[in-house]
Amino acid sequence: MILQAMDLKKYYGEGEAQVKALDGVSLSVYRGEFVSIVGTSGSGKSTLLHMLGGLDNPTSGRIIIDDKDISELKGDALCIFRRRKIGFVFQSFNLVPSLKVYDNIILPLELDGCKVDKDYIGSVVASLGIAGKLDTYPGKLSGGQQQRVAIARALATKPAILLADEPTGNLDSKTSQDVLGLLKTTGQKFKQTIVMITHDEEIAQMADRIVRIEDGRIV
Amino acid sequence: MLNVNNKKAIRKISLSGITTNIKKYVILIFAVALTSLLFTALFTIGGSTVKEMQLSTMRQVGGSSHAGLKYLTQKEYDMVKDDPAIKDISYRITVGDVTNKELNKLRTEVNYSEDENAKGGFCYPEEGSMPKKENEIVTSDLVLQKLGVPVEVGSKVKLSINIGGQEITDDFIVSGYYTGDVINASQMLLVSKEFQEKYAPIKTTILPETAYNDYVGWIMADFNFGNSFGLEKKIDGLIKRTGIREDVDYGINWAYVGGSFDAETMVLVGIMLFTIFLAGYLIIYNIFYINVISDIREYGLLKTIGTTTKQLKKVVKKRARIVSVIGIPLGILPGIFVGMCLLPMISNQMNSANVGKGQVHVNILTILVSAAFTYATVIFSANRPCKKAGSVSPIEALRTRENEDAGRKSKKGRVVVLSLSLALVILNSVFSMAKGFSMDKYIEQMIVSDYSVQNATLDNPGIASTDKILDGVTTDFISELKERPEVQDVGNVYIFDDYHLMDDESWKKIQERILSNERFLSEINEMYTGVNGIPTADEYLDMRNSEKELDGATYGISKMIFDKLEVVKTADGSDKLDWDKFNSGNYVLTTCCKDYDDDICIPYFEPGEVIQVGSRDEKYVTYDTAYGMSGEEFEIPNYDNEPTKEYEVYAVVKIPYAIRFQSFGEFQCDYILPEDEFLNLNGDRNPMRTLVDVKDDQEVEFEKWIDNYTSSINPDMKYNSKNTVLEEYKSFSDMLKVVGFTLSFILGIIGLLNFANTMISSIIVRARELAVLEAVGMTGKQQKIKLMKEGLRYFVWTSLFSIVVSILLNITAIKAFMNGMAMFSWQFTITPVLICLPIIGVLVALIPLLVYARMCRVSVVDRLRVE
Repeated sequence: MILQAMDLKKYYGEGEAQVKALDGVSLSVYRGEFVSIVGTSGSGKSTLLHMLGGLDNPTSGRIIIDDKDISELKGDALCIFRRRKIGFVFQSFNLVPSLKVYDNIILPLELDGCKVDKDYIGSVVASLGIAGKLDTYPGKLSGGQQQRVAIARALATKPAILLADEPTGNLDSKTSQDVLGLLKTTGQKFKQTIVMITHDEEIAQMADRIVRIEDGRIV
Repeated sequence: MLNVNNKKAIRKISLSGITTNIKKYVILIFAVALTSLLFTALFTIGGSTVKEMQLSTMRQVGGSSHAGLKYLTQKEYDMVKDDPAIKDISYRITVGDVTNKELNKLRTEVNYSEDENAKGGFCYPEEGSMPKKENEIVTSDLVLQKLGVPVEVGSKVKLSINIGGQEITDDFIVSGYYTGDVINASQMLLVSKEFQEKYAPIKTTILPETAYNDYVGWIMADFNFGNSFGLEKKIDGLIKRTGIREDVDYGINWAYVGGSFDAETMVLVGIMLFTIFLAGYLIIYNIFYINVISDIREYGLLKTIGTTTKQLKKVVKKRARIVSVIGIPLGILPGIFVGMCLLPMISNQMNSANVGKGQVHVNILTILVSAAFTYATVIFSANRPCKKAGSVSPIEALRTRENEDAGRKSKKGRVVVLSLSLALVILNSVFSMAKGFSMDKYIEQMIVSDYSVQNATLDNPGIASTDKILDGVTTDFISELKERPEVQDVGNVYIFDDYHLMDDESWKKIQERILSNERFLSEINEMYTGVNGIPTADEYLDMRNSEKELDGATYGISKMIFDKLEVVKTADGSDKLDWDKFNSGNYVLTTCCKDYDDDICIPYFEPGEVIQVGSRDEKYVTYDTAYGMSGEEFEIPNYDNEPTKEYEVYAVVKIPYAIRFQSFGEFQCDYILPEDEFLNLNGDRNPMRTLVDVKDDQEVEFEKWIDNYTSSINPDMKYNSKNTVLEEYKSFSDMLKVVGFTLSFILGIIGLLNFANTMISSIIVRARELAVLEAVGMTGKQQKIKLMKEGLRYFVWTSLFSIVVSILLNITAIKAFMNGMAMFSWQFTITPVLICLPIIGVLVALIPLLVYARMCRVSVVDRLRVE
């Protein structure tokens, strides 16, 4: 068991106006598993992912990743945990425009002051098919290419878990299939645990397991 | 072409852009207000100074009228008084002058004056009323004080009045008084019509027909034209039109004649204007540009829905105008206030009237000009942001915003660096001038001993050099001075200031060294143009060659003075002179041509040459008759028949300003003899000046004695002390500092504001980028360091730039300026920049942290979501 969420709740506001974004979600993910979380817009899936990634704090409940209770971590400690244990892939790629592709990929490692495992990065880059683009700026790449760079960046630190937030949301369907295929095979190759949220059933089907969420609860 | 009325739409877009982004525009409005503040302060000070100088000139001249006609009879007055060109006219009638001994140093004219004329002449009584009875008078508080009479209406005063050579002495009653001004060439004492008619009836014979001018009973008419332009022409016209005699004496009030500012002041004002403009431009441009960039999506959107380039430009221009309308008025009042605070210091430095000094003259023109300059700055600054907004391509604007930002960094950086450096460079320049304003050098120029005693007329710039008394230190004073126990050292300076007749051999040297010198020739060519009755340069040189005369003085000096001379050249090259050798009676010291002008020294004679010095002994003097401007005869002494004595030139020297006679002829070829030899050659004479050094701890007693002596025992004499000069120095250097530092401070704020704004917008624009970095694991600490580093990059560039520019400016322009002015001694300095840089460094590091802390109030998730 690499990830365990227990009775997660996230409430916004108070009284009448209270919004229950998450209302007692419990979820376990096993090592090497590829899980997709499906739900409509406003179902709470993004909030759940943000909690799992330590970007947001739950109102109550606990999250244990790689035997570490991240609900106890705060501020910079949480940030450091995040960059060592969690890889993010966002819908809008979120690459740093002023850095070249290669520098974007190794950014989390550099932030940590780690030595770059060139062989590993090399094989990640090769399997994602972006080896020829390392010396260009993100602005010059197509959407699919940018997302592949984002995946490479997420894998660079060999995280315990890779969280993908609508990774194909900004891509056309052909590219979406390609990128997701790459995500899956790369995940398998490097024995990565992947949690992906999406509203696209077809994309979700590529995962090992599908979790549905509605109105802040798992159904 | 269709004329589409889209004004309303443009205004709506412009306004909504500001109201929805009010924070962004608050900084811009603040920047405009600061610029407006600086301009208003400058124009308030400038305008008030001009006004003050004009007023001061009027007071000096003794009237605010445009012009006046002098020495008229009643008939002549009646000819002009109704001329249509004259707006108003009034007159006074000359009676004489007061000869009371107490008023020796305060010339006091006696006149009858019409009410209006007294008002225009600044002598209308502020207390009491104009004189009506024969024994009533009105005069200034200064005159009453000098006479030792209480300054109040009803005081009794005994006056001796000289009326055309006849002196009458009588008791008078003060019916009113006004506030006098020392700068005025003469004080007024107004008498009643009754008195004037009795003692000085109006002349009936016109001036050219009188034997000589006794200055009694003439009508002096003062009048104003419709405006003060071209007064000379207007007066010419008036004379021709009215048929009054062509040679009538007239005067034009120079307060109305332009050019009251010299080139140096104009340059200074120009530099100030440019500095403020630059500071304003840098910040307004930068903020505007950043605003346009951050609104680029809005502009792109407007373009997609069909707004033209021209219309987009209009939107930005309109925004600039709205910002001006709010910002400019905000800066005007504080600007007037700053000007008000600084003005007294500045006006204290000017030789102007002491009435109404430091008064702020704010008029609508000052405000309009300040507003216009600020507005021009804003519009000029908005120009490029305008183009930027207009040239935006809709697709690009919607897609690439972060790339845009990355490419623009260096440009933005330059503006911030320039803006921060400007304050530092100005500060450094002001500081180096304030520091280089050398007390020693200033005092060395102004006074070379603890005290200097001379006739009161001698150093008074208001008195014509021909009226100055050159042998005013009395024998009584010298013998009393000898008795004073406080005195340590005494030195005398004697002088005859007229001309030197040269022998043929000496004249040949003068021709070679001076008259054919290129610098001298170019000056002569400029002066002697051959127009308006002035001779041509050649005629002038011919005249010189036939006369073989140069103007100049013969000085006699004591050993104390001898030791203070600046040695320029000796026969053996040393800069030490031996008093005993000099005092033997065979040697003379000579000076350089125009040595008061600048550092270039062209000696008239070389050490070792032999020259003839003419005696000025009264026994041999003859008199030539000359004619004055109004045809009056007077005599000038002629020394051509005086015996001469031969001396060897011992050295070429410069005489310090504080020692010499402070008015100069064209050449000012001076000879200097030892005191005894001077008196041997010329016969007995009193010194022009006596310099006194006092024992260190006894200055208070000595000052008391000399103050009493020059006010009670011999009021003709006056003394200067080192202390008075010290005070003058202090107030000047204080002014320089306060004004300079105020300017630097405001410029500094502008610079920091510029930096802060750049930092804020750069952080806000990249809020999402920073959130991404945080999401992938950049800690707060790492982000803060990153931002601080960015700030520090500005800091490093600012340091480099300001240090280099300050150094360059310091060793070029400022050095040249300071070396050109006597009271400055240039020293290299960069200390202010080095002191301020760490402070700026801390702020530059701190500001990004504050902005970051603010940004962090929005959670990472929310920032990530912002698209």
